[in-house]
Amino acid sequence: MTIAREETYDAHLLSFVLRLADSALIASQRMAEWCGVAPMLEEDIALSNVALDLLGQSRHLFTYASDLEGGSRSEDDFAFLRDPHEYLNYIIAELPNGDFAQSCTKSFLFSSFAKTVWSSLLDANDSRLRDIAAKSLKETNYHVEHFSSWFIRLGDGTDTSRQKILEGLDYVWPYTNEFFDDDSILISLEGVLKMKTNTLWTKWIEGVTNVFASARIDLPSTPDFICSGKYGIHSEHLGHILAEMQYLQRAYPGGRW
Amino acid sequence: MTTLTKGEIIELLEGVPDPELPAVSVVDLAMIRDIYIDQHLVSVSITPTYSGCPATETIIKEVEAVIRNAVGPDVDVTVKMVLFPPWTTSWLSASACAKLARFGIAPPVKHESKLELPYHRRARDGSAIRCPRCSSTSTTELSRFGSTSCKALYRCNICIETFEHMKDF
Repeated sequence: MTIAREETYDAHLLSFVLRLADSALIASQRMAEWCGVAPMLEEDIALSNVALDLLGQSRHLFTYASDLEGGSRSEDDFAFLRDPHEYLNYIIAELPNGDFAQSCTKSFLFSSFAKTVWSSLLDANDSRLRDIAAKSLKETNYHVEHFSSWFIRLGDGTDTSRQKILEGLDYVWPYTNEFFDDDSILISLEGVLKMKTNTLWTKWIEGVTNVFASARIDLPSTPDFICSGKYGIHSEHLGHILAEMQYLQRAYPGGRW
Repeated sequence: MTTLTKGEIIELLEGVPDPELPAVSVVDLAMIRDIYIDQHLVSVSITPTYSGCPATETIIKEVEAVIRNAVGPDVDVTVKMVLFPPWTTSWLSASACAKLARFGIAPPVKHESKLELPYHRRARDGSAIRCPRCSSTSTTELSRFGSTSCKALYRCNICIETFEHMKDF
């Protein structure tokens, strides 16, 4: 019995670490699509910088995942040799960018959630996760500020910019439900992670509500729809991202720079 | 067996620049967190500035190469990456800040309260950031994200030049 329980614990911890790692990696890959085509040069550089931060965070997490497995898969194996159903990212990370307003809205909601998670993990009973959280939180604070400021500027801007933010919000908002549904992995790891979905929600909605108020936008109602990317059930978009991201390793296995 | 002392290793590492900021060394940037020496091993712990900084890998290789070259083939050299405590610009020494300023990069200013303010309520005129060319404090933030993760882009309102600022982190 003890062995079975330990195996479940290890599997759940690995799933949780991969959930964070995959969300950061896929959000980074999406963000990087803006490189070269952002509405202005400064923003092009900003989005590329944020994408790099997210990529770096995912690498810390993949290294930890690899250690949890005893090194049987490397950081690169996790990123380049898994299929969509093995990816455990929140679906919001894989959504298409749409226009700039939609991207800012998505990144504002996602980075605010990431900030909540990293803050919470500072109290975890797992030193590796605590260290990664402390590092990532500092970077994520900058991301939240950046995307909140765009959400406010465009939301409280011209009729057109406001309309675009509202349309982006319509599309993105339902996917935030996935952050907070009852989650067997979080429940089984509660002793280690010290993390509860209702506490996460309370902290997230508090920060988000303030920004909505500054943007003069009403908080949307919570829809019934709950997606389940964190359990490996994805939208059609993830396969396309992986096809592009993994092409080289799939076509030339083991290829190196 | 190595006869190098910690002080000598630090001196060696003062010769390893950040490839993206050649004016300052990895020691100036306070990236070196620990040095362990015994008869057969030199082990250095390094902390990255930003998680995604592409210079980190080059720096780790360079640190390892410089020490390996100094200690010879009989001593093992390892470079470990540590994340905690997370790197902060408040670790930069006054001399490191002076080197940055001479290189044309406004150094970080050490007021901790700045990050606590919400972005949209923070002063946008960047009045505390000093132009590294004419020393004016009348400067404007153009973009919080610059050419590398650690820098923001500013313009001086007096000499009208743009310059980079290593942002508080």
